[in-house]
Amino acid sequence: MAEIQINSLNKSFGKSRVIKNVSLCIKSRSFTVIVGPSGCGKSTLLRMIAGLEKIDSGEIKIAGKSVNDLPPKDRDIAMVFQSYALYPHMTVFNNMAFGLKLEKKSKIEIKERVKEAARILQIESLLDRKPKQLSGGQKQRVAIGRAITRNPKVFLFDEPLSNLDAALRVATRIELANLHDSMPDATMVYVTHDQVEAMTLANQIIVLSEGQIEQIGSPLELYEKPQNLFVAKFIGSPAMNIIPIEIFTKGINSFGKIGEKLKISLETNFNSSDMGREIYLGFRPENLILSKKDENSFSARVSFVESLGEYALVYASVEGSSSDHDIIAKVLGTPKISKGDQVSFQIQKGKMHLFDEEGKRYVNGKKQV
Amino acid sequence: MKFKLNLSSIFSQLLLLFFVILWITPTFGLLISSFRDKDQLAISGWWTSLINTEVSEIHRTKGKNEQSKENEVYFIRGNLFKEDKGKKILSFGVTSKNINAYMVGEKAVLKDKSEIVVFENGDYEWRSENEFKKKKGRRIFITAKSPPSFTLDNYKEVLFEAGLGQAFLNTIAVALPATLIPLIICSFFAYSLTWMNFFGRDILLATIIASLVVPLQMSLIPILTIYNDLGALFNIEAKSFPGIWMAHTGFGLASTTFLLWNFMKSLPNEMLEAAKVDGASHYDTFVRIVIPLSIPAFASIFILQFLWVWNDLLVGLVFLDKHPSEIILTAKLKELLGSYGENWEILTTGAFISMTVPLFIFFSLQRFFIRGLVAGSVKG
Repeated sequence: MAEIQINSLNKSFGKSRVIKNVSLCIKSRSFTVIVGPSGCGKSTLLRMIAGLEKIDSGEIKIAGKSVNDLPPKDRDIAMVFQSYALYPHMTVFNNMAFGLKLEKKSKIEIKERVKEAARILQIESLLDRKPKQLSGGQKQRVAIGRAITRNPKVFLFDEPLSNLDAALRVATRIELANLHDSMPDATMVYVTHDQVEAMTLANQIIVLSEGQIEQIGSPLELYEKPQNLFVAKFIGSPAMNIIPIEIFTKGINSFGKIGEKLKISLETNFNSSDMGREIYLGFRPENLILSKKDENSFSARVSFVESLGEYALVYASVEGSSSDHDIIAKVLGTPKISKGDQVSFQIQKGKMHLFDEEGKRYVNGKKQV
Repeated sequence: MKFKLNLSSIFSQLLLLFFVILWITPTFGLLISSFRDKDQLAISGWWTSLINTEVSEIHRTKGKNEQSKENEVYFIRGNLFKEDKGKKILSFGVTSKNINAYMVGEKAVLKDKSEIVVFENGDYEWRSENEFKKKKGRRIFITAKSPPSFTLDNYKEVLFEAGLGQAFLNTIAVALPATLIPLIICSFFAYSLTWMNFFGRDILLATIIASLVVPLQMSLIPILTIYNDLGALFNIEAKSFPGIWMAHTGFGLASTTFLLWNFMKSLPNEMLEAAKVDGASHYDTFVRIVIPLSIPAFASIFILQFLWVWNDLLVGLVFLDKHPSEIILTAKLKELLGSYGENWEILTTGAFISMTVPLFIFFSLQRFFIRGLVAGSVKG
């Protein structure tokens, strides 16, 4: 049982504030992924949990105990690094046994625990090799094995897959998910900039941007109810379409205006005080459907089509817009559309996301707090 | 890799060849000279010693006491050479005016009608109808081909008689500790400068780098004064081996620390952090991870510092006495140069002895040397 509780954490490097007043809770036994663009402070946050970076202010608790002043080894954690960080002069066995040897465990126990970890990761045949004789995927397994042998309460992963090639990344991702299943007592914290890794591995995702938490939630929550524009754009590939829209009519089923001519139903209740406000309309590419021209549709001109067989990505610019392709539609099959065509799109019912000027999500005409 | 022949590569190859020749020639010459006979060394260059050379010599036959009588004819037989060095006689003469009057095997008829024949290997036969009267033998002038001849006598003389052997041991006694002590101290120092945070670290590092430019000559006298004062205070010898070890340690401290620091900061940061997470203290990290990975850097710094101390004359002259028990090789060579300036066999041999250790170190550790020079350019 190891819950990680973080209270108003702050960290600066020189003048730049990297972590700004972050508070969060990572539940025991969860697989939590911290995701965000590069430079958002996610690695710093992880390294602060690990004890590799000093805390400017705030508190980190692991299993209810404040670890602010504890060195990494006393925090009951293990960390897997992006560059594997194996000891190049030691065999795989010694790499995995290093921590146990420092703890002065008996030789028999060390051997047992290393063997057990090697069995889980299927690297038993590699134990006598040196790291330079291993492939990238094998090195990463050894690095994970080194973490497992120490049998910690919390596993910390710092972008462990980003040095692997695409195919291996997918395979290792699945293995990581299995690993979490086989060690149900462990809490895993995983940092990545890859939202696919985040969506597939996590049962809790923390989206971080510029040192602040944008949203915490399960993968589907983030996908279906992004709390702000940043999360909306960050989660999902291709990214969510965002177009500015002006509130045009009030009442149930208010209309919005795109550009000069287009009007679109917003499925939301706006007051008269909201009239004329510029807000953002978001919808995912797969929620756009080709339709006939009617009051709920809007027309757009196709700028190009990427046909991938299973589906096609249609890049189009909304009528009256100056930009070349401001929306992307994901259309199943192979639509008979080509560059320059005028098409009508409809947004699936209930799949609209509205954000105010500051990027906060609207729910039923009310801002989310 | 395919070898490309272009102008710049030809130029660099030629340049390399030039430097190789420039370096090999004198070294090789010194080596050959040190094994040559001292008499030959004095009159001909080392390059003549590898092939047969023609020499002209004077020898003397045996006198009347050695004669024998066979069938009323008197003979003196013998060999002109006192020892067999493989010389082959080409021609000979019986007067100094014409030293190659006769080919080998030819009969030379003397004024008293006696006949001398000299054979290739130096055997001769002097035949006369009358009894030989002279007590001394006759002078024979020969021209012979002499094969290359080498001797270990020079080494025997230089090592054991001129005292260079002791100086050689003294230099080892100076150079080994004077290399290992700074290496040990500086590896700790460089680790702390690289991986530990403490107040004033950057200033300390800047000071070390700045002190690299201070010439050591500046500090010789002040240090010697301190040594003298300390020696007087505790009533011990001011000039001693520990003294010179400390001096060399001090002089090598800055560069050794700098080189090691440079190497250690190239070690991947994440690896040391992994060790930290694994529970390693700074000491564990240093001993179990940083030292094993720094072996190439240690080796190259060992080579540099050892060669520097080995070839040093100035520090050795200042901090050590000239007793045979303390004098170092370079100082001894300088001394020999003064007293045996004419004896080339001593000087060439001595010089070569002083070169053996650097040569050995260079050739046996050269892969570390090359690795050390590019240390840090490739991550481990």
